[in-house]
Amino acid sequence: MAAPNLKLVLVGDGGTGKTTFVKRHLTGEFEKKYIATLGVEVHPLGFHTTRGPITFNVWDTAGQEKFGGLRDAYYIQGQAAIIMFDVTARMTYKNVPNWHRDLVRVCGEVPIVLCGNKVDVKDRKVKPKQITFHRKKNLQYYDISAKSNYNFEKPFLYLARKLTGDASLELVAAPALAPSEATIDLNEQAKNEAIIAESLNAPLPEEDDDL
Amino acid sequence: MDVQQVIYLLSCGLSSNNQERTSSEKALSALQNQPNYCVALLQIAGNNEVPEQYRQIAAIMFKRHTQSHWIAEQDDEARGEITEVGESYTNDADRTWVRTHIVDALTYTPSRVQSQLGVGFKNIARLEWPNAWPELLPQILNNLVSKDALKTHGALLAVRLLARNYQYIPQVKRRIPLENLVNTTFPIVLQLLQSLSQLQTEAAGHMILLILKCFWSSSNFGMPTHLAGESVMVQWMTEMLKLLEAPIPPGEPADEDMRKDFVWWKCKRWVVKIFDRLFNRYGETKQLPTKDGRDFSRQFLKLYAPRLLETSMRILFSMKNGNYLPSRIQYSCLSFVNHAVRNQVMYPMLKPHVDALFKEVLFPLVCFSNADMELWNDDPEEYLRKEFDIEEDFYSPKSAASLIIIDLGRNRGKNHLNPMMSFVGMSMMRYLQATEKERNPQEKDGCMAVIGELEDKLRITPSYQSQLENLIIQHIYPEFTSPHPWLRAKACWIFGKYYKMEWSNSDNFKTGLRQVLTCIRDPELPVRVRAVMALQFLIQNPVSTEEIRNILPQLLEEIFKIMGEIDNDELVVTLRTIIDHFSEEMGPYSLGLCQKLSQIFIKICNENNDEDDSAITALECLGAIQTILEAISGRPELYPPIEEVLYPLLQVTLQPDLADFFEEGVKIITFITYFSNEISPRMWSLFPVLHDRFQECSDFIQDILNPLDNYISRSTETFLTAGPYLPMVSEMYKKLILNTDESESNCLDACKLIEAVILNCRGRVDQFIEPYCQIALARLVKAKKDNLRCLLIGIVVNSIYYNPAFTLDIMNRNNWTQQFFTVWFQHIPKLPRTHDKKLTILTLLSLMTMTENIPEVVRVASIQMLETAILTCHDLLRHKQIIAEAEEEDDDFEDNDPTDQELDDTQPIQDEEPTGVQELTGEDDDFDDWDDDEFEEDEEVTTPLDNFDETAMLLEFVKRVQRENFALYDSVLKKNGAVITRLNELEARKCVCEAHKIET
Repeated sequence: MAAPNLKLVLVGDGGTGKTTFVKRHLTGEFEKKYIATLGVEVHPLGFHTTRGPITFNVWDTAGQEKFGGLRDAYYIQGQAAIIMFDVTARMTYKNVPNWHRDLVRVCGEVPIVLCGNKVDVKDRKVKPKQITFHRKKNLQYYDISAKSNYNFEKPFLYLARKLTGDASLELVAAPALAPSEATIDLNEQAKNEAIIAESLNAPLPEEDDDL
Repeated sequence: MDVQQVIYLLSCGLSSNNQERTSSEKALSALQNQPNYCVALLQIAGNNEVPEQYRQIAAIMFKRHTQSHWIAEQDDEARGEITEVGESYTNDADRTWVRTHIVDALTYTPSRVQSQLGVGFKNIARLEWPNAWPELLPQILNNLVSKDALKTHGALLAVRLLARNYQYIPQVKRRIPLENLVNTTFPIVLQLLQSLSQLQTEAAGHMILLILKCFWSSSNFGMPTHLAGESVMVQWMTEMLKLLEAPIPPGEPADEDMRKDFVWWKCKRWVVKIFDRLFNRYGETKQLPTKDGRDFSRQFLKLYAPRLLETSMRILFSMKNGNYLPSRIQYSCLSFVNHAVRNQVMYPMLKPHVDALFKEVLFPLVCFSNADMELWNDDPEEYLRKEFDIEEDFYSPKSAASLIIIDLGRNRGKNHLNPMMSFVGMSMMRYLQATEKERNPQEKDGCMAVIGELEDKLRITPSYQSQLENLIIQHIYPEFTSPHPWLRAKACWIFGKYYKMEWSNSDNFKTGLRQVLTCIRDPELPVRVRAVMALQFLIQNPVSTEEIRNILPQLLEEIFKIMGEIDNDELVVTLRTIIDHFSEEMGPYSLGLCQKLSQIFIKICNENNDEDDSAITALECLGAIQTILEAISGRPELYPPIEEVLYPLLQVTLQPDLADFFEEGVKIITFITYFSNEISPRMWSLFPVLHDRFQECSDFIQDILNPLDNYISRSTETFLTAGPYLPMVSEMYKKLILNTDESESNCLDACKLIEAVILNCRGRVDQFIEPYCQIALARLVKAKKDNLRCLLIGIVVNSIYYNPAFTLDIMNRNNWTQQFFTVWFQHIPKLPRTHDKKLTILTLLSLMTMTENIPEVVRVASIQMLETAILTCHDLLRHKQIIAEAEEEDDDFEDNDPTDQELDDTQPIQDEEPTGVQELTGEDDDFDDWDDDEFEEDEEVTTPLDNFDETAMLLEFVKRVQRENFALYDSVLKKNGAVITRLNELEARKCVCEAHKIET
């Protein structure tokens, strides 16, 4: 039986590190030099799990409006999604609801992971406490750092479990990743993780509906 | 167009093969310009046989097509633009087809396709409905009454989408299509609402929600006539009240997070939102501009508001038993009650329940909550950010409750101040007498919040005035050292609030002040911030001046430390207040302060540019620097090192494509170029940068005029010789004056700029005089407003004054003289500024005193010239007198403390800013012209003309004429004897005044 091929849509503001994130995975085929993504680039990322190999076809979409291509048409038939923002730029978090709205309008209720990227940067602007959107919309959230590989596999593991319906699914081999280019203060990050975990039980702020 | 081919291309667009996808995208974008494209897309989207993913991409492409290629028939400009780039707009046949079929498509497509088509439908309707689409309404109506639930839902969706296009349109004329929509469809929509509310299914709930949104969108900026009819509105109100009062049907999610989004809670939320807005818009009958509005307002107050108030109160009271109530519903209900407090009709009904409302609802809401405490402990920075977040005012029940308390105290105090204060007083007494363990500090926080919010009322109410000092000492002072940091912060806040209070014993005040100063070093950040902010006010109490002066350097140090920890514009405002207050003592600190402020500013700019809060802090830093520069303006020797420190900051503010800090940065340049002993080469290096920024945006002229004037007038030699500065300035002038699209104010500034050149560079810019005059005269023919005409004429007048013989020669050569003099003399009585009047007198004198080659025009017009000079001089002296008197009046003006203006139970509260519909109903393209032709107050500028006393010179000249040219003297004197006598008097009085000044 062939490995399941799952369409994963990766969205978020320009410059939040979506392309960098996919490029950490060394089985993907991609260009080496950095350019703003035009339209979309599809990268197949393979993972070895306790239920056999799984391939995510990651649709890395353009964050910048002007390079949008077909934009929301790329979300069609998406079976999972990652919304990425940059924890050092509050605006990218403020735009998360727009990305989410467009995604849901096209894909309906698919498992979605919200990722706050660049947690390796010392001057974090979007604090764990402020990240509440995922709770309102029932998404999974992870702090990640594409540069240091921190939590790289987490979103994929979560989505694989959701999509297979097997909550005990594990990765049997760590994915081959490009070497880390940044270090993370693990103590500091442990605190952040604790807050994120705790905040799952915290009461929700109200959302604005349709206005 | 081959539909199968389009489906194939669309399917390739979904391919994960990059090449396949890219080539399909290219093919699709070429098809965009083909006839039949959007028809094919809509056909595909609406075709049940086609797999859903292809229908979905077709719908998305259709939506995008309506955005980019569907251009209204009358929009020639947009049509031209699109053809110009080789593309084409949707043709008529396609448009007709789409209009005929889109409602059906919208009705029968699955929700994911429907939501995309909906956006497309809204786009098209905005352009085509109703004029090109008369059959739409009958079609919707037909579906609305259908027994088919899908058709009904589709029709409701269409109504909502159409109404949304009018949601923000207030103009009665433009709302006519909406009126028709409401007339035709709402009777049926109401029936639907009535029958749906019998059901308890989620599907019914969603349909009801859609109906509520239809109501909201169509009544947002005006009440449609159909709805305003009593028999209709009564039924709507009844239905909505029923929804609000009904228990939540079964099926509520157990999960707290999902609960508020349960469709029936959402319906309730929209109902209270609608009620709140109705009261906001129609609560004050007299403030409504139209008769219809006033009629509806009376209907609302009489028939609905009492019932709505009753229900809102009941809902709020239900919370005290721990019943669940989403905070947005709390907010809207509180807001509704707040309208009632302010309203003369509703207040009497509310009055008997206010005391209970305060105790059971408002007070608990203003106390420090568990959530507040958690946030304080976990993330003090975030806590502070939230405290100062203005968005909270629009959503948080806590701030809504505070607002009611303030209104009750301020405006209905006669009835409610005592009960509120005695409740709070008793609570504080209990707290005081209890052991630490028994105390409820969160309640104490609430008491302090109430006393703080009621400050302006309590301070002027005689029965409380005498008790306040004791109250503060007894109940507030202990909290400065409370074990609960948030009570320490509250104590600082409240003490700052009461800065205007009169103390019987100033030592008592000093005790509190010292506590605040101690809190500036509190271990907890929010306490430190609150303490600093309190100083902003406390410093205005004279007693604090000495106390603070003694520790000024340490205090500044601490404030900077806190500013390093958190971005908060209020901190910088406090710093600025302190600098301003101790301006005379700022000398020794000025350099260090500028250094720190500039570091903070640059740090913020480097971090990122997209945060509003940070941008405000950065602007406040620039403001604080200006305050410092102003404080030391009398000490030019302090400027050079400061200039060095500020230079990198100035470079940041002048960066291309960054407009946020430009204006404030330029103000700093103005200070430095004006108050330094001389303008350094470093500052000169910014001159070309200013010029570059002007090239980018000509409106910057208004900002850079002042510093440019400083460069020209204070460093004329460098301006003329050290670089291409003169050509830069000349080019700016030319660019602005010759472009008739430039705003008048930009042109005025351009004239002022060149005037500075001509006046300051006397004898040095000969070759520029002719082009300057030529440009001014070319524009003069087209200029319509007197202000601009006067300044353009001024350019030529300046040139004559610059060198009469030289300029007259140019004018004669160009054949300008005769015509110019005519226009000039017509405009002399209209001259706006004292400076122009003075220049006129001096120029006329210089013409009349020419000795060689006296031009024809001077000889012919000598009588008129002398007469004009005398009248202008009289006018000028009168003008100066008016200004002097106005200044004296300003000095006499003292601001009064707000007096106690409590209202009768039956009086409405006058808002400073009315919030009713009246401000929304004005035609928005009908604004008054913003330009004012009023006489312009002179800015405080110094010019080379300041050294001349035009009156003395004129009188001197008159005497000379009397001696030498009796014929002229005789003919002028005959008519103007009285004026000359008056001039002599004024001059004599001026001499006496000046002598007096010198003596004293």
